[in-house]
Order: sequence, then C-alpha cells, then structure tokens
Amino acid sequence: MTQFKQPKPGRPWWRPLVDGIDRAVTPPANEFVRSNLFADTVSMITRLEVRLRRSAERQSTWMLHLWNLPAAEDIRRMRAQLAAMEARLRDISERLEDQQLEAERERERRVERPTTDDRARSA
Amino acid sequence: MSALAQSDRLDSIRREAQRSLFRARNGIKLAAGTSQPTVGASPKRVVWRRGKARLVRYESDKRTRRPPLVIVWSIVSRSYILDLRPGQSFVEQLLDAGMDVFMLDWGEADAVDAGNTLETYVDNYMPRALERAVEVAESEEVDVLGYCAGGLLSLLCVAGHPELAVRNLAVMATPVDLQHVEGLVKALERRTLELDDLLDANGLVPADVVYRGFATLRPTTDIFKYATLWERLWNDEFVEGYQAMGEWIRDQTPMPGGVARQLVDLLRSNRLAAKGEMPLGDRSVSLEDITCPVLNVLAENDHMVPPPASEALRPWVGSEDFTELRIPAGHIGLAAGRDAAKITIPRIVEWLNERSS
Repeated sequence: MTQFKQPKPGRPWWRPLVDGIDRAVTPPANEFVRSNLFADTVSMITRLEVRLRRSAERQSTWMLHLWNLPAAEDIRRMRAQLAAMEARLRDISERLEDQQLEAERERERRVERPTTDDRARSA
Repeated sequence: MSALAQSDRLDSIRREAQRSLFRARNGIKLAAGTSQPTVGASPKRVVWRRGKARLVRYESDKRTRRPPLVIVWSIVSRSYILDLRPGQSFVEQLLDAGMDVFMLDWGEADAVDAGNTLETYVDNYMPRALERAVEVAESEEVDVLGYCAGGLLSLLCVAGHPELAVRNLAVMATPVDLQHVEGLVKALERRTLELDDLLDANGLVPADVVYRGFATLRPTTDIFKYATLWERLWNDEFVEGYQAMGEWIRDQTPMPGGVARQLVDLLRSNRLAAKGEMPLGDRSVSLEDITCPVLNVLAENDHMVPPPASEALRPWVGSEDFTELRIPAGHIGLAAGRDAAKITIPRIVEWLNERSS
C-alpha cells in the first residue's frame, strides 16, 4: 500500500497525497510505455491514420483533377522540386565558396613562401 | 497560546496571504502568456555560417584557457538549453572557468534540408566549422564537446577526419547503441512502424513527432509537474525557470528525412555498437580511429538515452585516454539542472584542464 508521508514544514497539506499517487502510478506507466504492446499499439494507430489520410487524399485528388484543379499532391510535388532545386543551388554555391576560400589560402601561402619561379621573376 | 506561538502563527498567515497574491499574479501572467523569459541571452556573435548551420563565439573577457571549446549541438532541439537563463547556464559556467566557448548549432531544418544526411553534418559542416573556430580563436587545436546526437556527429567527425586538430573530445548522453533507446524507436527497430509513416510532406520528421517521441517516455510528468507549479507558483524565480524550461521542451526542431533514414538503418543493423564502425560517404568510419583523449559523460537517470546506449562507446574508441563519467541526473538535467552546475560542468572543466596547455 502506498505510504502517504507527513508534509514537510512549509509544504502544503495535499503534497504527500499527490506524491503518493505519483509513486503509485508513475512506475507502472513508465513500464507500460516501454513495452512492445505500447509500441505496437502506437504503430497500428499511426499506420491507420496514415492509411486513412492517404485514402482521403486520393479521393480528393481524383475529384479535383476531374475539374482540372490542382490537388495537394500536385502542390507537394512542386514544393519538393523547388526544395530540391534550392538544395542544389545551395550545394553549388557552397562548392564555389570552398574554391574561393582555397584560392585565397593558396594566394596567402604564396605570399608567405615565394616559389622559385617567383624569385627568378623578381630577380 | 504563548505570545511567541501567536506571533509565529500571524507570520505564517501573513506569508500565506502574500503567497496567495503572488500566486494569483503569476497565474494570470502564465495563463495570459504575457511574460516570456528571455533565453539564450549570453552575448555572442556569429563567426561562421553554412546552410542553416551557424557557429557562434560567446563574448568573454575571462578567456585564459586554450584550446577553444566547440560545443556541437544535437540536430533536434534548440541549443539555448545550455544558456537558459543567467545563473542557470552551462555556457556561462564554462566562460567563468576561463574557456573560449563556441557553439555549433544546426538551425531549424526545412524542406531544403530534407535530403541532408549525416555526411552533410559530419563531412561538410563540422570540419569547416572547427577550422573556423581554430582560425577565430588563433589557436592550433580545438576541444570538442558533443551533446546527445551532437555527440554522435562529433564521434563520427573526429573518427572520419583525422586531419582535424582536435585535442580533446567529450560527449554527453550520446547514443551509440540505438537499440537501447526506448519509445517510438523500438517500433522502428521491430519494423512495426516504418520511417515513411512518420515523414511529413516536406520529407522531415516533424518537430511534433520528435517531441511526442520523447514525451511518451514519461507519460505522467506533465500531470504531476502542475502540482509542483501550483505549490510554487508564488515564487517568481521558480516560475521563470519553469516557463523557460517549458518553452524549450516544446521547442523541438524537425529532423531531416535523410538523417532519419540513416539512423534507422544504424538502429536496425546496430553496426556502430556491434563493430564500432559505420558507412559514411564512400568509406567506413571506425571509432578506433579516434585517438585523442575522450570523455564519455553518462546520465544515470536518462530516460531518453539510457546508460547502456552510451556505454557502448567504451570498447571501440582507439584512444588510450578514455574516461567515463557517470552523473546521477536525467537527460536534460545533465546539462541544465542543479547537478549540471555542481557536478557535470566542474568535472568536465577539470578533465579538459588536465589535458590543455
């Protein structure tokens, strides 16, 4: 049986009651959410929700396309293409940035250590 | 009743009346959302950016220690938990200890980042950020401190880039054996749930899913914390801390689908824990190639990354100087609680100082 302790001085009268309930309820609740049953239940609910959502989207897409109107799927595809293009642009600009940085570092290294050719030219 | 007892009773009544007033005031403020605490307020400046990633350097006139320390944050959640409020700041304490502190933060992923992979962070962003920290700090080397998934990125980066001048590597609450991580991760491991069921239209694992994935591991916390809030609602300091922490807990960031896919593969193969290596880019990265001193900080009461998930690092690291530090704290308390200020941070500082110039 859960023990309800006396409240410490300054603590409210209801605190031991709440702490007692916490001690009784929390350990089995924590154990349950770590069980395979919980994981399987959440998975099943998630998959069901996804399935229902996709079915609703397919229906609405078919109806919208009947009237030559764009559906969420079309917009999603377009957004994905835009995002991919932006990611590619970002990739290219990062490579350019790296090349510029490398060229700058090479220039600095040359200034610090002139090559044999540079010395011959200046002579 | 004696005069003293009467006086005590009056004081007690007066105190309770005052507390009731403060309780009402703070309760109204909380309900109305009119006073949000300022978080992450330590002065800093951005010294490097790439994509959404940014490296900031914290301002300090107390820098006495070299090399600089780069904190590598997790891909999900916000880094300001390490600089929550004045007096409750991991960063502040490191600065007070004379450290030159940088923070590598990954920002908030969006559709453009959905295709980001571990290689994006480990091979593209991190090496450049660490080089920049060395340059800005005018140092020759850098110390790295990775937290949670940031720790995993740090391990892979240091292992995969031996050319980087990393002097010391510390990781905190870092999941190496993902099969010990609980919750939704278990469903992914058992294949009762697939990643595609979790990704949103942008190809990201939504912030909400990340938050619920963690929150379900302690289902009664939200209920019982209201009891503590009610009890201490009169205390301005407590309420401010409660708001700041509450804001951070809800403020998760989405995870790029590319990274999520690799982590699910890693979870199912468990290669990192079983063999100490994993494929990255066009090569295999081995933890054995980490030869600098390593500190592995574990939270003994961590419900998100249980100790066995982090302990799995021990057999694989190539370094001869490997220290494991166990702190009696939770995942967040390790870096942001009372134990962080009294135990975690001083021990990390001590470990780093023993190995610095």
